[in-house]
Amino acid sequence: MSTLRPTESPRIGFVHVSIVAALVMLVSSWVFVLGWDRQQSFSFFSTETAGRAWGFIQDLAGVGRTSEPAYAQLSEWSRTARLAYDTLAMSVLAIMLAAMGALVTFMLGARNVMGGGGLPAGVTFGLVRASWAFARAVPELVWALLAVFVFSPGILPGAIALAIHNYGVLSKLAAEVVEGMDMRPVEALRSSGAGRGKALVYGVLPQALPRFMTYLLYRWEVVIRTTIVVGFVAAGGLGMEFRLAMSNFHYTTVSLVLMWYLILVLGVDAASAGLRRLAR
Amino acid sequence: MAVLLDGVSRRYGETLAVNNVSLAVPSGQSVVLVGPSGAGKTTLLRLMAGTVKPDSGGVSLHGQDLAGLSPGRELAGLVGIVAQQYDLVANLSVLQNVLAGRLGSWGLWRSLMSLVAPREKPLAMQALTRVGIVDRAYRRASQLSGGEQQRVAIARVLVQDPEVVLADEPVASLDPARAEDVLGLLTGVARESGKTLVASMHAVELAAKHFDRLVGVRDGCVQFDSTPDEVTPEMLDSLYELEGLCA
Amino acid sequence: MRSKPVEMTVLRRVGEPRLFESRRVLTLILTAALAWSLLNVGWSDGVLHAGGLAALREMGGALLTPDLSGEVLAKLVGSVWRTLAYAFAGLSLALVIGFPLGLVASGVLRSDGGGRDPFRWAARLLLAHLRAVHELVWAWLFVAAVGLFPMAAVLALALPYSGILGRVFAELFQDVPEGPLRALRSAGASETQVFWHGRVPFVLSDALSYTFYRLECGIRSATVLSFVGLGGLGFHIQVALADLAYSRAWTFILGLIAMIVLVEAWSSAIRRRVTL
Repeated sequence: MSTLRPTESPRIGFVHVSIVAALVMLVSSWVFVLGWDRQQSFSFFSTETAGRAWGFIQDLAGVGRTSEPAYAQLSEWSRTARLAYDTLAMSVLAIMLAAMGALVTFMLGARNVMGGGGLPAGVTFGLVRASWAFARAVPELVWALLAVFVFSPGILPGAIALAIHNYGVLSKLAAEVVEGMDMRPVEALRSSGAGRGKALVYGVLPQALPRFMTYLLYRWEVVIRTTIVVGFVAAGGLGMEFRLAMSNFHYTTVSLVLMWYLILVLGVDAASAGLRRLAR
Repeated sequence: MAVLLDGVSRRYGETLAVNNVSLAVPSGQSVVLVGPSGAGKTTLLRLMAGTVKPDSGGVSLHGQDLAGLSPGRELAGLVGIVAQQYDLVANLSVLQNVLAGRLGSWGLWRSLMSLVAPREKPLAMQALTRVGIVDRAYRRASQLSGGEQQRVAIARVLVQDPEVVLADEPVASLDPARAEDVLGLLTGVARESGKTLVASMHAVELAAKHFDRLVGVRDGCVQFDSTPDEVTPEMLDSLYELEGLCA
Repeated sequence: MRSKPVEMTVLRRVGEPRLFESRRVLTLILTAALAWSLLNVGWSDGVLHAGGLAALREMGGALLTPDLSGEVLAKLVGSVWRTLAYAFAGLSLALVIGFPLGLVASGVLRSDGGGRDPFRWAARLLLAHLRAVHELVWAWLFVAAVGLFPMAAVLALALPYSGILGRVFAELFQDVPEGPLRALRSAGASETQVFWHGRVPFVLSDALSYTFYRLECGIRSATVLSFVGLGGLGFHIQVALADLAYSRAWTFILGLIAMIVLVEAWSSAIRRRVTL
């Protein structure tokens, strides 16, 4: 038997350096967060804070107020119902627009589809991928800030903002599905005479679509949570009401909005789970 | 007797997987159970390993009745198992996987420390040298080929150092050349260390080449129990026939 | 025995898989949903704002000429640091809360898989509720409750993220293959040893990968926390847009993008070296 010597144990590598860097970052972050605290007249971890927090919770519940809390009034519920409806519509519009954008571009950003197409394909690939990265990196709220300048108020600016960001997310996920896919059906179609485009459509789409729809539904759950936030700046739906109520210190209305929020979130989670079963 | 099965039976739902089987394996012998899939070979090995209890009859290893013992720490000194595949921890290095054979003797603290800085390295290295892959010691287990992974499993059993080694279809997932190598290694290691080896295989020709005793199993019964030369083509046919009952 | 309509039985005999039916239903539902949502846009008021098109053109132009003056760059660096600090602190707290909760929620600590374990169901419920609320909503509530503290931002980030991480970790723990665990047990390992030598190594690489993905999200979320008055980048973007200084706004936005792209690259480099 030939003599085999064990290879040396792995030296300090990229991962080790990264771990150290991450720890350094971690420690300095906490020092910053806890140290900067001194600027306030009292510390975050104090009875003063606890007292304030408790007072706030009582305000949310409407304790100590003369009038009835907003969430106990049917009129308030029906007034805000329209806003909840709008918020739901915003989330659906956003995710569907994002999905349409993703469906159009996802194959153009998949390595196994674009590879071998020469320079024009490479450039397209690069541009498409860059558009996704750009769309994804900017938070929805920032897109919303920009959108209010361009689109008229209502559910549109918020929906567009959410759509742009999620277009980036869904496209990348879809491209990864395609890249992990078995390309043999496509090759088979090409060898039986189909043109490049048709072979891709008939070969890729049937396999990719179910996964894509699942991702769409999962993403919808995220979108509904963000829709209320986008409403803060884009002046639409429950988010707008939340902001107004906060500014006017109508805390029981805030509670009402939060209740609607939870209803919407739990409802969408349930709907998404049910629809996902259809996608299997 | 290293391994003694005394009239054991085991039922799974409607099926009688093992039907009143008696088998005695003296210490240091290498035995192979051959037969078609579903014959009950795996169940027999599980009975010997103590992971499955018989409905009737007794199992004992080196005189110890397995009835009261539970698999794990208590049995690790008696029995070591080499499975068909997928039993290495994929994310750990080969070295760590081999050292897992010592877990039965280590306390919690030492095991945790070993994850960070491997203990008892020389022992593992020796085992890896014996199975011929010491140059892979620091690779991640998942990066090895099937044949290499089985060698690691054998090295782990070496480190564990039980009295009896059970191998359930150890080479079924390997191509013929690798299977030959690994099987030769397994039987060679068992012979050198004087351990008792009980294996199950469905490839009879390969089994006959490496083992001194063949036990034909079918439908939960022992059909024959002889040396390779004594096995006739008729005996093999009766094993693999479509119809047939216990003798 | 329910009697099924004749057509369905015929279709099934012909071999048309049931799956296609339900998927077509789904596509129909999604298309209907899109149509419904489009109906709710106030089309009568016009899609674009009065000066919308002009604003769009100006924004596009400003993208190519970001404000790179020293003052702005200084603010950029400062707010980038603050955003990173919030993200790291928030994520670390989320891990501390989420990992143990996820472990309990997975049920692997119990030998029977925790089917009827009250702690497990409590953990799952807690995780679901933590996940439900967006970090900005938490932030707004905390600030309204106790005032402007960086710790409020960190908590606002940590709470929902702990819910998300916990749920993912729970699923990872459940998905560990049984084969290696059985082998470890037969080699003599106790249940605790099986956990540390078998489950943890398997979970670690996927958990690391997902945590880094969440770090990226955390950076974006931390940016956005400015809107409540905490943190840096978002605040500067907001102010710049309020002043209609598009070039300045793009500087900050581009800084944000650069930060995210770098973290993304770093995390994929790590993931490549750690995963299978």
